[in-house]
Amino acid sequence: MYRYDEFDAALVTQRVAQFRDQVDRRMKGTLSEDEFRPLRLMNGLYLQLHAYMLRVAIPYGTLSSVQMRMLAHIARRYDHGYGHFTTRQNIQYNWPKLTEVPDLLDELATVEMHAIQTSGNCIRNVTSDPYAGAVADEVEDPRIWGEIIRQWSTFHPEFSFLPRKFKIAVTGSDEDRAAIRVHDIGLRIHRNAAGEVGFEVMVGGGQGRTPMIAKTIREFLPKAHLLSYLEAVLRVYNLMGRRDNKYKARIKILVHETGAEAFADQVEAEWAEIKNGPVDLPASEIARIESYFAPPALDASSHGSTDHELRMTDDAAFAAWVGSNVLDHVQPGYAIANISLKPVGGVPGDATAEQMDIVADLAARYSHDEIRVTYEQNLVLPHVRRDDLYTVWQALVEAKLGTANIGLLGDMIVCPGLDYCSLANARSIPVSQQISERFADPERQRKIGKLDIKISGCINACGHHHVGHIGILGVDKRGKEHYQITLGGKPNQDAAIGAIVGPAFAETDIADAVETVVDTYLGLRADGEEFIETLGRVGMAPFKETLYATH
Amino acid sequence: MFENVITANRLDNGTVIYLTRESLWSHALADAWVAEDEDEAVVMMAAGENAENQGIVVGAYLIAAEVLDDTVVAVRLREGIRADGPTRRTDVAGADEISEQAHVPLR
Repeated sequence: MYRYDEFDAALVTQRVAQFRDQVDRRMKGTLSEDEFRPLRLMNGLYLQLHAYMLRVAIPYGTLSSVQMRMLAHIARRYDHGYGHFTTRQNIQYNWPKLTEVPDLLDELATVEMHAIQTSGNCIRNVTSDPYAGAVADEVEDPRIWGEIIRQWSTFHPEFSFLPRKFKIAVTGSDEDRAAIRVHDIGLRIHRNAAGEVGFEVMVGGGQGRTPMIAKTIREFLPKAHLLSYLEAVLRVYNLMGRRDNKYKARIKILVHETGAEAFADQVEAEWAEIKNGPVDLPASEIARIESYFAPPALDASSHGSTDHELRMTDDAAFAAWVGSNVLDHVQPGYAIANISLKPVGGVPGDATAEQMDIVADLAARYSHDEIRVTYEQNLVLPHVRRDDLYTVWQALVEAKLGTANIGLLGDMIVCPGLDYCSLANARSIPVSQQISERFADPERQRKIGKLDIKISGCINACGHHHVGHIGILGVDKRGKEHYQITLGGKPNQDAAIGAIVGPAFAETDIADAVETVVDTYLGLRADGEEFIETLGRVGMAPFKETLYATH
Repeated sequence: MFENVITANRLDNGTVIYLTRESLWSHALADAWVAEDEDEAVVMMAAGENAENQGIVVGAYLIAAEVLDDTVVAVRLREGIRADGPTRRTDVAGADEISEQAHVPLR
């Protein structure tokens, strides 16, 4: 993992000291709320429905055990004993006291963490593939470039007041596990025909009230030029992006209105001016950062014993968990173990301080001290020996973290909704709980197969409903919560925006409606077909018919 | 019928509060001063702005309320959730703390 150098450490420490002074002045009344609001937002501190909310950055979703223990400590000492992992691989605390936030940030800084770039119209905390460095289909570890982008973008003076927030995601595999096509910039590391490694650069994706899939503006960008090219993209956006209308200020609107080709031409023209300047890193600096992401010292002789196979045979619950939550590791004998934060009837993405401590302990003992956060609001132990999986699973089950539903219906992305968020129109969490309880039987979920349900409490789409196979959007209809269903969204390499199936359903009917969609699919699917494939083959009509037949 | 109360967040800890008839602030919506006409609401808002200027509260605003069985309740779901807390998170520490605070007037 990356370790702070003296510049990183000084930067974060200075920022905390500045914020302590700003809070002090706010409490004394020498700063008004209008003056203070942008300052607190630059430190990740929002004022939400019930209280302040602090969003802590987890760059590219990677945590050490010590950092996870600190997150648990923060939950216990400064909050209500839990935290909420988000779709940007960060963590949010829902109840911090303004007067205690400087101390909280001081404690975070001791483990190289902070809340910088988690709010405001800047380049936000970069996200990445949660399985980076552990999967076989990877060209290169994308976190190296995530870290380089982090260092370049933090407090970048030219890009601290962009027209709107700006989100970048990087992946190193063809399989997209970071939803890069619904980001302002999506970067895919790949090899060109000559075998050289570079980036496909996608720009102008996003969700919200105007969902769009990013357009590829450069098929292949040599790695060494990434920062100058990003700088050119940001410069064009900063100059041309709309500042007169918040709802049209994201880069997706600029790319859409300019046209992807014309936008690419503008970027290339800007890049031609700066590509040989000082922005791009020298090879020695890239190599220095790369060295922090060297693979852990795995046991090359470990190939998994018959003991593991016996456990799989003897314990059906363990076998089910392995079947849904465990993936092959690039190193034979090891596995990637996903920890679901979606228990039946639970709050998706929430973890208690005790659960965080247990995950930290398991990572220290069994996963080379590494934990990942996924944009799907789960956790990952990326480097677990297959022979240790049974022990890990038993500990997870005891901590209520052993739900075997990764990629299945119960593994929903759910925004905080009206239970916490001041922007929301409707609640998301109770809807997800109704659905997860309705489909609580794990065998039923396995029979249904891969199915992404994503729920947002408003059109800002923090719950990614636009790219859910089944998307659910909460709306306010004359003071009552209603839920609109979209079908056919996809977050991955075949990214697509779902289409609205028809009129919204009342809160009391939404779980029934989801069940109707699922039952319709089961009645129509061909052998081995996933939900999204059946929908692609038969179209929306049969689902509309069954959903609205009795309405 | 015009029935409004003023709500805000405490500046120091962000918790939800309501202006009472005694010009204090309470965590309980039940304690809120209910304005029955626009003139009364203007007086209440002035008190809210004053509290903002004194650094006691942040973001004071009027919400629609009604008195049912002698208890003040919010008209909109959003404000009901603000008053009562998240509807689904009762299994963690903290919920008790909020309910204990609920009837402590702030001075």
